[in-house]
Amino acid sequence: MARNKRPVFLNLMQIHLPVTAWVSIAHRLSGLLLAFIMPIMIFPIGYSLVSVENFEHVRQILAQHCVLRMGLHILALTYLYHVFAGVRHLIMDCNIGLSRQAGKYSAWALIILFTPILFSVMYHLAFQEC
Amino acid sequence: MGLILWLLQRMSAIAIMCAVVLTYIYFSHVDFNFISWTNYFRSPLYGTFFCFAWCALLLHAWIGVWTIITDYVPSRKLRFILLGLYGSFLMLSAISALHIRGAI
Repeated sequence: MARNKRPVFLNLMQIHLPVTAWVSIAHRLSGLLLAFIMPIMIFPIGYSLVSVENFEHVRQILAQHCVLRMGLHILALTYLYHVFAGVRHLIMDCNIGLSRQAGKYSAWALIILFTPILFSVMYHLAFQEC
Repeated sequence: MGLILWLLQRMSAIAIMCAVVLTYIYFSHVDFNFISWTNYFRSPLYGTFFCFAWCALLLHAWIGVWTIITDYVPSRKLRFILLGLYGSFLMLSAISALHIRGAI
């Protein structure tokens, strides 16, 4: 098949992707992570609702295990990024900012908006949480 | 079919965002303890909307993963297996969510 004879160039160090591509890839990756973690979260929620003992048990586990608290923070960050990138998509669905230049601007806006949140949560995790 | 999926993806996204905002509003007004925690899930507004948004979340996840798998898994058989596994995983989560709503 002629289709399969196209040259493939996949040296990730040399491929230069535009900022919009990185934002889109990160949207996908964050979505994939959420898609596997979020459905599981119903089980601790259900467990904690059964009785006060169960509720306190979950609290205790979270208080004891720093890794779990870190995981929850990272999950929240992932969710927040996914929402920001998703809202950007929703705005584009309304035919706003569809040009290449506008897409680049909104991608940078997303990064500029998200970076301080990322760093403040990272700071919180590194110096206060654990 | 594609258009319906596209629309469902957007609508479920909005439902999830609304649920997160509602949850934030609820817990910013009360102390976080077992009583307020169970009241949240018992409440006709918050509890019902949580359950609805949970189903929206699972639907959103399903459409997202389906899109990614159809993009990156060329083999039809493997695609079928992966989607089946992921689908049953989601079903388990959906049953638990409905169970919470029914049990409380």
